Amino acid sequence: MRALPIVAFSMCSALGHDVAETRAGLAAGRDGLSTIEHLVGEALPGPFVVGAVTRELARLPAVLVPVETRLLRLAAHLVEGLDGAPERLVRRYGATRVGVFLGTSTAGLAASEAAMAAFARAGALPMNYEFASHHAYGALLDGVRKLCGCTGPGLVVSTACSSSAKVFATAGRHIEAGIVDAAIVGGIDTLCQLTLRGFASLGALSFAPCRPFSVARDGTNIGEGGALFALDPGGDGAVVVRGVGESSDAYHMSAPHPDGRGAVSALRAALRAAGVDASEVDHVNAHGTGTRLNDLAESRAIAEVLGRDVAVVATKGLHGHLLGAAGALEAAVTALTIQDGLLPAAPRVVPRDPECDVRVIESPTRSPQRLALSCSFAFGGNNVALLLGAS
Amino acid sequence: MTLSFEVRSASAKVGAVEDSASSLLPRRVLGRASPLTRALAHVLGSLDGIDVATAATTPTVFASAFGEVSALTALLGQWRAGDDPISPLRFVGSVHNAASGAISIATNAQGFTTSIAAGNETLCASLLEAAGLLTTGAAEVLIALADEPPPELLCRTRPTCVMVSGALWLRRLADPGPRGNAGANTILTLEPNRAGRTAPPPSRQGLHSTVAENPVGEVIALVEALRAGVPQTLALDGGWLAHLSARPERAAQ
Repeated sequence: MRALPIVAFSMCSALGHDVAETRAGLAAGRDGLSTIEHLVGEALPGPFVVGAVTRELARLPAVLVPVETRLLRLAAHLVEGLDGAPERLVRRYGATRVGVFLGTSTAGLAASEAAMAAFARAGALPMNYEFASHHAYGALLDGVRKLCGCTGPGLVVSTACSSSAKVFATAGRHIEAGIVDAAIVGGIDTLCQLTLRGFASLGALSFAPCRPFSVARDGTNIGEGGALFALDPGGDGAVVVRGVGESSDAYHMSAPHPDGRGAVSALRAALRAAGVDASEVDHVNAHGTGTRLNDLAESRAIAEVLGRDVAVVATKGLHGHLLGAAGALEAAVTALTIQDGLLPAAPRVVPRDPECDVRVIESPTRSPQRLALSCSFAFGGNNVALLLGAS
Repeated sequence: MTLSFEVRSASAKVGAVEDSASSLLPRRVLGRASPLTRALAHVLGSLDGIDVATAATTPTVFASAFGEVSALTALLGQWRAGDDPISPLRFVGSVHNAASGAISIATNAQGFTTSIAAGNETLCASLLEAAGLLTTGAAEVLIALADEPPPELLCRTRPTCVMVSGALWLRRLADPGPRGNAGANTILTLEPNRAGRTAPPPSRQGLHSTVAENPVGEVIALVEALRAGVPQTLALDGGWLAHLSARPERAAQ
């Protein structure tokens, strides 16, 4: 795969409202998790620890107000954070030659939950709610296209937790095939009643701040937010996409293969795509959900492909698990780590789980970073490994 | 620019799939599967020449504009009814890639699979995603699309569209290989539909309204055109033209 420069990126999560705040949060090891008991105006069955974006989001442009959702407002915030990069791509290549490829798992589900709650109260759906323009996955694509001024090919990938890592591969293929010349990629998800309740019903949630790779880990925390990237093969960026590996476990809908075989396959495919050896990788940004099964299987996969001494970063304890947006947010964290040469700490990881026999970073560590892998492993056994490098 | 590949075979269905002898899912799984997953497994399994081994080793693009509508409706109903906890199986089955996951498990497919959506452009997006795969190394790609009507409880008026599903087996143009069924061995060429050109009628024109209103309804027009075996062009939602032409060896006969 030809290295694909990231000419701009933006991010937003409980850890930080933008790149600068996130950078400061990673350096300080300060988590942004909080406890909520209500969502979309309705009670939750008890307090949930989540990674909520608590700062006010800017209003949408008038053309998008009729289809306003929290998802779209987060998207608008992230597009603004690209600081004009979409417009520059459009000027350089033309609007029809810039693609938009996004990942989400919740789409506009929160808007539908609010609509159903309103129906229960008032006997009618809200006047400004329509399923296709508020909930359906394509609504996010339409909104981001309008916000960016891009009219090129686009799609939404929704493969649960690997969604917004897969979009990097989709963009790379579209560029290599000549379908587009550049791309906006990323992912956005919001907190929803059904996702919190669903993960709780699976026993996958922790009701305390999560502790990936710790022997005391008991689940994950759901988060919201996302990240967007402008990819331009003709541009310059401090960080480039070197390769992407994609695979399937073919094992179980909600549990990883215990030996991490799908993860091994994805990690190796990413290295092969970039033509690099595992020994050249400086760190792995793990999927690291804090569930007993994921962290164990992932440790085995990392150890098998990269050895036990590679540095492992796990940041979901700082911002939560952003589900469909996790791949993008953690790619942005990886990009920051490469740029700044600072490995963030995995919070609350001590005492370590001896069965997760990899070198998880326990305190912020200065170390030059040239190459890093970011992993995303999803329901349905869908796996992605994204290899980013310093340009 | 143009992107060309061969259509090895194609299948489509209007309406729900209740039972399927040709599904890629075994019977014990089929019974528990959602309507969307059943439909996707059925159209894939109905491709001429497909078998489990091929499905397991061929990159597959699953596509649905609305995703698992039935599962979502059931979950929302559970939530509003105050059920706590909600069904974990139903929750896992509600993710957009539930079908992709179930079929990959059933066929032991450990390679590439994806699950995409793009509103009314979902067919076009899936063809372009497949084109990207074929251009960057895949010899063949499977596409499976399906959409249920949108959830009635989230619509102001009762949805009038019916369920639609379709599948395509595409091959990189340079590769020789066995011929498929009637309507296959067609070259499909995608080309941007430039403004100002005399465009062919939109692909949804001529479809029954209950099919045309389905976000992936265009796949019926495409599969019918493939089966007709006559060179023609469809204007797809998404701003691309799909030109269908015969494979050169066939044209020479």
